[in-house]
Amino acid sequence: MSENHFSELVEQLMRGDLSRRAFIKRAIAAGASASVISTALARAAHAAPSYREARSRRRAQSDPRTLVVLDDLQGQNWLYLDPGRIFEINPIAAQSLIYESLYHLPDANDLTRIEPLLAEGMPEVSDDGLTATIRIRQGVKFHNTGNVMTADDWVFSWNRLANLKGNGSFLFTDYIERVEAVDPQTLRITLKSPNAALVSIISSPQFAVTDSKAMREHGGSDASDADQTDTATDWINQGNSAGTGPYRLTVWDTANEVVLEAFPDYWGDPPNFDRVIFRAVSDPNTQLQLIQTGEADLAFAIDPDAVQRVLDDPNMQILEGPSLAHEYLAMHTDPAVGGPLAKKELRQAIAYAIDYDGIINGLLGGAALRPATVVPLGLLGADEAQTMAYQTDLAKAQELFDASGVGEVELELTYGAGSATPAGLLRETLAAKLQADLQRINGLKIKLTPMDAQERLQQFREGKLQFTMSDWAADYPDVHTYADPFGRSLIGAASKRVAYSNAEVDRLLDEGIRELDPEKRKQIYVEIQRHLIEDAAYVVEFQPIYRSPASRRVQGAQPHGVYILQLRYATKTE
Amino acid sequence: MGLWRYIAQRLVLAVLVMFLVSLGTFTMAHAVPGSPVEVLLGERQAGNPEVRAAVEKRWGFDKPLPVQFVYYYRNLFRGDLGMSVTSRRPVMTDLRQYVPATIELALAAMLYATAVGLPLGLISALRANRWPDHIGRFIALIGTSIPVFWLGLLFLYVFFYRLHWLPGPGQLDIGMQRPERVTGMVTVDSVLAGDWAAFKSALRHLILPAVVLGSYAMGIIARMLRSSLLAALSDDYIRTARAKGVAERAVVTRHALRNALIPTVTVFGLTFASLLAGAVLTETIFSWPGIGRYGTQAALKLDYPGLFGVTLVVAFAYVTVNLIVDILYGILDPRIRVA
Repeated sequence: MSENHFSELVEQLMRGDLSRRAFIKRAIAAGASASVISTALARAAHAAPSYREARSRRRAQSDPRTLVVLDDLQGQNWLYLDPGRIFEINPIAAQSLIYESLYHLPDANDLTRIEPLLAEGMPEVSDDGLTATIRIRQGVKFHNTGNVMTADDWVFSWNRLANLKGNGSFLFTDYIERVEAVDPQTLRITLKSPNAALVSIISSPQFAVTDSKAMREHGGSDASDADQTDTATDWINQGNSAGTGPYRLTVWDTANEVVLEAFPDYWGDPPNFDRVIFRAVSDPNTQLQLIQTGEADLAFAIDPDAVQRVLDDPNMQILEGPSLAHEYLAMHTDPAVGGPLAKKELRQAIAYAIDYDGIINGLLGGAALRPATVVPLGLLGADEAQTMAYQTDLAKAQELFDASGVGEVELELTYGAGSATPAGLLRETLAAKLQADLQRINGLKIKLTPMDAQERLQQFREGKLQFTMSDWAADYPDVHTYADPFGRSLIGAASKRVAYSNAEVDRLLDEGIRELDPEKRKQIYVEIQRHLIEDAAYVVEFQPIYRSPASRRVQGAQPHGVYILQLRYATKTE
Repeated sequence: MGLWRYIAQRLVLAVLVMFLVSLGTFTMAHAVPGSPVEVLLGERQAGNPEVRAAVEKRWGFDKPLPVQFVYYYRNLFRGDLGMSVTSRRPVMTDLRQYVPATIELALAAMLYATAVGLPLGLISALRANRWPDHIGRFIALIGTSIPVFWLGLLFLYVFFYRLHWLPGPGQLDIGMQRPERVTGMVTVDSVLAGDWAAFKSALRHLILPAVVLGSYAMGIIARMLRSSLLAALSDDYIRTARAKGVAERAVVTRHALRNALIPTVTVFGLTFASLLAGAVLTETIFSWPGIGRYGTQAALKLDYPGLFGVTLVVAFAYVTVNLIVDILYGILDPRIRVA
């Protein structure tokens, strides 16, 4: 018996399951002699990995059916996953696994490709462009209740979104007049005006369907006073879900962990994981350590300084996907505020003087793209506009500057002190780079003025800043949500801040939002971009590429402009 | 009766301190530029004056400052600390969730500080200016002079990342089910639930942050005890005791140590403040779900109600600990009551 026990111990030692010290202790307890023990130890020293190595490897081989994602949950505003309320950025990654919309964007690199998810096909739009009819998928079950999804659930969910009057409600109320159930399988949407971006608007996570019966049972309401009476968000935040997605929520504890479990009755392909865990880890460096030791699989973002460390690690990789955000310079076109910047030639000179490659490669380590103007690459017409982009050309810049006839000028470039661009670049750093670039033009001086970030935004919004650094993110993944706020004369959310106006752009915008033929529509937005580039009220320096550090064992996960981290197709090897 | 009068005095002072702290926080929070409305609404919606007005009204930002302050106090006495802008939950709920984790961490840190600091100080004093003293003083010096955040990162790097001796950040292993919440302290709750795996995991997760957080207090305690014990040992009454022929062991423990502990107890109370300040950094590094991390988020997001809640808790803890120290002091040394 002791013999048997001893060989078992030796085996454990060889496998690295037992430390040398523990082995000796147990071997002595089992009555083995010193010589036998030392022989075994000597053999093990050659054959077996050390105890510590084995342990760390075992950790690295943690369950392939569990995906562990790290994020600073509280710092990143994981407030709720309720589709009616969500408007924060990172939690969309979890929300889009639990809740589903009619359409989705499967490929992070091609956001013009929108495919049906819970819809049967693309909408049928009436001739006047004001109504859209959509058939919904049959036999889709909701989490926990087993209720089958019908058109009534959609009507409830969307009306609730509108009536909660939350941050995302405008997505409904700005564009949609009403939504009705024609029959249990058919939905009819009446629009406020013809809208070619409808499919991309309703693909937003806010337009996901919820189980109307379960929601009502737990205090949900779609009535006009829902903002006062609805309490379903609290119920969801107790770790419940009422969606149709491949995972359901089981733990909602943003101080520690958010846990999703596979939904066995999912209508589509069975989910790749039993559990997806979003773990709260605030420090980016510690996040990397957890991935390196194999305790976790991926994180949302990485410090630019740490990228090389990840690339050097054979067990790690960097996942990339274009964002839908961009960083831009705004130049006021009204002489009263902009001063010399009211001269188009001066603005164009500035656009020519910026060292874009230096910013993208030098400051951002290559983690950015450069769209020609305010429309991010990946959206309709942005690729086609690329050839029109300003290229760094000092001679041209000087020529335009001299032609503008402004003489020696000093411009005041404002930015939010301590704030960062969408890719996490400190504005202080970018401002210093821009100052150096622009002062290469003889006669141009740039004065840098850091301001309190909120105060700067406030003043920018009121159109009081001459020259400022800002950024923009999508409301929904369509070209119009960029072209319109920047292009619409004087009243666009961005254009009013610099008093931009161009009647031709207004006409094209009206045309573009009505045009349903994608090819024709694309041409219209290329034309709009041509004007925006020529007028140079905005110069876009870059569009960040999201970078996620991940273990090599993770495949199919991708940073995504809409879902932030697309985990739907992720898998993990042993 | 002198003792009761003394305690009453201390209590009145404590309440006054609490009021001044909250007044100070309120003033400072409103003196910094920026608006919580922006944080609440985000870029796009904050541009809409109608939405802005509605939100300002709902959160009471439209009222003049003194009115906001009066409202605040009225609600405070009803046990309502308002809604947190960052978590969109009542601040009371947030505090109830986050305070126990900080208490757990602080207790563990204090336990470490005393368990290591007292023997260290004792050995240093008894072997003054010999090598055990030099080593002891060196350790104490390191404890008091190394910044908490640096120590935290270093310990994580060495003991978790490099050596794998101890787990990484958080309170429990990843994906481990939390024991049913009773006290909110995971170590205690796991014992109550009889969940030994969770207890073991919780305990292991507690070690690094507790040692990091407690290292400053440990150093202070060791140094204080050393110097006060040395001072006591050279006092006349010690000479008398020795002359009487009292055994050296009894001289140290009964006579010198007892008196040397008085200043150490005071320092213990004062160190508590550094513990709470250190908790902010330690909790961030170790992703510990306590009020330090919560307070940081609240401050970053101009969450006045959340910030207030944390300030009140911290002030309350500080005042309470010092009150206890003052009272203990009064009991230990009757002369103080008079002064």
